[in-house]
Amino acid sequence: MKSSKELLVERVLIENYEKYYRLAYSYVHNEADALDIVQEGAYKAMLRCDSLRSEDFVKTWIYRIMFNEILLLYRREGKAVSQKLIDIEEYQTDFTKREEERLMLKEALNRLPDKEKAVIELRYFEDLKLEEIAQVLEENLSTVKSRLYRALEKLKLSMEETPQTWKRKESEDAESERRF
Amino acid sequence: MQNRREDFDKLRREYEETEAPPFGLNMIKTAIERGKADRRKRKVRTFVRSLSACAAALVLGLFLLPRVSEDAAFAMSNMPILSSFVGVDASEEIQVLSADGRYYADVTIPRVIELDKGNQKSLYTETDSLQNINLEIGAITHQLIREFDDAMEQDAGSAELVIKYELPKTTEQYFVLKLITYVGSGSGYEKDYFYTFDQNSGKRIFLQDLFAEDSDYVGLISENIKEQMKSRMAADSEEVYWLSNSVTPELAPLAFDKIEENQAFYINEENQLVIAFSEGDVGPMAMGTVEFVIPSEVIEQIRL
Repeated sequence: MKSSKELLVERVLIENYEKYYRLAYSYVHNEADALDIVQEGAYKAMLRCDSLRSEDFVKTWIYRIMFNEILLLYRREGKAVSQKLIDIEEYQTDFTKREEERLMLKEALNRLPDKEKAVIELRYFEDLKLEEIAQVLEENLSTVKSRLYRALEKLKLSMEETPQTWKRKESEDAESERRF
Repeated sequence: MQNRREDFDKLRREYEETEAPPFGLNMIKTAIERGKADRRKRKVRTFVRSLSACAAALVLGLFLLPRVSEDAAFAMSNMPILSSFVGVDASEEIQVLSADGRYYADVTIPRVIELDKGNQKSLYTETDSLQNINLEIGAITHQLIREFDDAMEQDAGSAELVIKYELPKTTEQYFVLKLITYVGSGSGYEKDYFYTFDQNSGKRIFLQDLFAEDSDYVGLISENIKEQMKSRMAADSEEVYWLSNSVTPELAPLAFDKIEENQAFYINEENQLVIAFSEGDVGPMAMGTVEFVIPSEVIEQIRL
């Protein structure tokens, strides 16, 4: 006898398989590991579908499981491995100054701490709301906000330049010389 | 700067263009079926186990004698608390400085302990609360230490870790520990954790424990904080807080709306509530960690 949760989780997993794959791939940079992660995540999601509290949360609940699988594999195998893979895939071709800048940004994104990277990707690549990201990462909304802000600072990314943000940035740059 | 935004959009497109292999879908379906099968096996096992647990409990129940809780008796006696019964010592201290100075750690991990009262019986037979605080501190600090170790091992640049503690002044009823953590690698980030312990009840206090059950403490406190933010910004142009009517559109999601139900806080020596925010929570990182003292009249109606 199938429960409605089981049917729901199965459907969402199959419909969104590519999204989970893309998120996993952005961390491990190779097909085999990304597939491992998504398979293991799908298995666990089905196994535990009874613990899904409400059907409204199914999307973030599955993302949370997938993200935990990413962390499990990613931390076990070491970030050094995936970093090497980026170097190989990127530095084989000649590139212009602009390409160089783009690579620096890409590298900065990949160097972010796992959760900060997750906030950026889930927000700007997967269009999740901050509240949803808080559910995925199992953190307070305010923690997610500070992660977002920290990540944007590290990427030196203002999503839009206006005179007001310039002014605030100036006073921040002066302040950031302050030592602990 | 405009280039940066274009580069980021390119990264987004690259991300979206990552293709999942078509055979991957079959692998997912297989994993799904495996999950379903194992879930059914589990359900049967749990049912059987709970049947036998019921049977066991019935047998034991006949032999259990009622116990009077001694600390409950003490708490009911209304004895005044004359001095602090809870203290702190350092459970671990670590110092690291690499030869080239790129890796630096200065760590002191605090541990809350019950002070020795000589012959007097322990008040806190519910010492779980103290233990839980120590477990939480252990989890937080050990995680940071692991991350520092990883950074050193992979030698990607530099890393700095400082962990220390302070004991903010508070009333005689409470004991407050402030755990300060600072992680640096390029730019630094301070995050503080507050633990408030009620010596009368022997329990750790969370913000919601201070207020009557159906009260809107979150709303009242948040509104007061917004007013304080406005006054602070008016008085000093160096202070910046993110309020919805004074941020640029892209920072709007970060604007302060309400405190959390279990927001970080402590009680100061005037028995006032102090709300604490981490760097980057309600204003730019440059503002550092910020605190707001909530005037007593704002919350006295609902404070327990």
